[in-house]
Amino acid sequence: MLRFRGAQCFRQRLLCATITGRPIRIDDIRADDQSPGLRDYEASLLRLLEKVTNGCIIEINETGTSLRYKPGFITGGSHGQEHDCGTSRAIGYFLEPLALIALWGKKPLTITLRGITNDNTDCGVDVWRTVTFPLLRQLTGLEDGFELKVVRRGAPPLGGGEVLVRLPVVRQLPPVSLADEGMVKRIRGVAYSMRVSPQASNRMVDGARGVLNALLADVYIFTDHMTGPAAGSSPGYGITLVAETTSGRLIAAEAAAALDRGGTGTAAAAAAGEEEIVPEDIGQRAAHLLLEEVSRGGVVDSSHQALVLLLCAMGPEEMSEVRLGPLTPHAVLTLRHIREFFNVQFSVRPERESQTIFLSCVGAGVKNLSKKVQ
Amino acid sequence: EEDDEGLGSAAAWKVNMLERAAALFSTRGADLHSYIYGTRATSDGAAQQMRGLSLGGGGGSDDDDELFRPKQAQAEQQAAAGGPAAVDAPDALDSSRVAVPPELLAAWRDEGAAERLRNRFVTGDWGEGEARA
Repeated sequence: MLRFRGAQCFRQRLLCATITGRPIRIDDIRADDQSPGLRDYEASLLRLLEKVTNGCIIEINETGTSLRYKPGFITGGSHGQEHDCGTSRAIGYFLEPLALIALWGKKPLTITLRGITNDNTDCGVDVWRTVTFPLLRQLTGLEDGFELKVVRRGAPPLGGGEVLVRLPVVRQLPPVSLADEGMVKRIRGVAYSMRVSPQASNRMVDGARGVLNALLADVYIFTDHMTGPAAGSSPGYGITLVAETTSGRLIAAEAAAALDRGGTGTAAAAAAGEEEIVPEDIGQRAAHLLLEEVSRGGVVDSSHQALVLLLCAMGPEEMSEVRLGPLTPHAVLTLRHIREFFNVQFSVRPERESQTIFLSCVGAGVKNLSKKVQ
Repeated sequence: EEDDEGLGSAAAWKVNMLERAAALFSTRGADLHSYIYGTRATSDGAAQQMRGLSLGGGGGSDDDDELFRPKQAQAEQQAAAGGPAAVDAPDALDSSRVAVPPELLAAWRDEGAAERLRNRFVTGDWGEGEARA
């Protein structure tokens, strides 16, 4: 049994434990906090794991500061599975571990997730649809099977969004070789708004184009104004921008208006929302974030580093190589957890001129033994 | 050790700051490798235990009016001190998105800041762009 401390990297621990089938124990979860123990969204994630696996054992102590998790078999299934993600964290928080766990299931998974679709803490559903799923398609070698449909959008604090997600299963992963960043050839995006004036979307597009058109003419941003029940329970608007390079890499950046001041968002997000409440500023902020991501370099943006590294580590016993920008704290922690669970250690080779890092490893050769043979 | 006490809560995050920065911006692979793999994720290490103890024993001595004060999380203490939250705080926020510091974002507002990225776009110099590959 692997033992951990604290609430950090909670999802990666559960994800790696489930895929490798190794039981874990986490102690001192927010032991020094005023409200100690697991948060509601972490409990919700555990419930979601119970839904997609069979025979897992979860034990939590009275105060919620210790957790013992013995993973079961991943089942998947398409019989009207659904999960209410709550309103503390966005759907992206739950989708990140779920997308990788479902790959190793017995049957493809179809699930309806309800909650917040876009916020400032987690990857929004537009990033999932336009960047993460294409990336997963390429790295798993499965052309069809990944699907995400935004039925309703939900902004914090009340959420009310709904997405339908389809995830396929694999037998084993192909090796990863992503070293060519390419040059940015076009920029696409989605500006969404709900329960506010439809003009908000156009104003965000104006803000983003004002920055990006100086570099590139090929900028096209769709506007998506949701009305009626599809608009969720709270007003909100935001924008997702995706830069596509000549080598087919996708780099995303997003920004959302923090209309729920003093709500559940982080202090930094709330402070930013205080001054950036105008749609033009949100568009400009997303454009600046996109420039920041492009300048960091690497074949994926900073929010997808951990995902790519995990796919490399689970790959076959061959050499996999990726090129990333400066590693995020989340990616560093993920690398440490990969070593503990999969016994895979990456070799790092920083390149001075481009300030990027080449990471290579020999995968753990994870195989899906429960997938049915057709 | 005496100096640390004088700095109060600010001292905690300043420890190792220089070497951490040196590792992250180093061009030598060995430094980055030891930064990543120098710490274990599991809690068997004695270092982790020590850190837990020092956390418990610490705490500002600013106001001793109250006999019992709630222990603050390390991240909150650092946020109060104006420092960035620690990467490896045991209870750090679990999010794959990185919080870009506002000053870094504000730098893109400057005239000509975007122009420095010109060669990363197809409108720039292709020779320069391909030199990176």
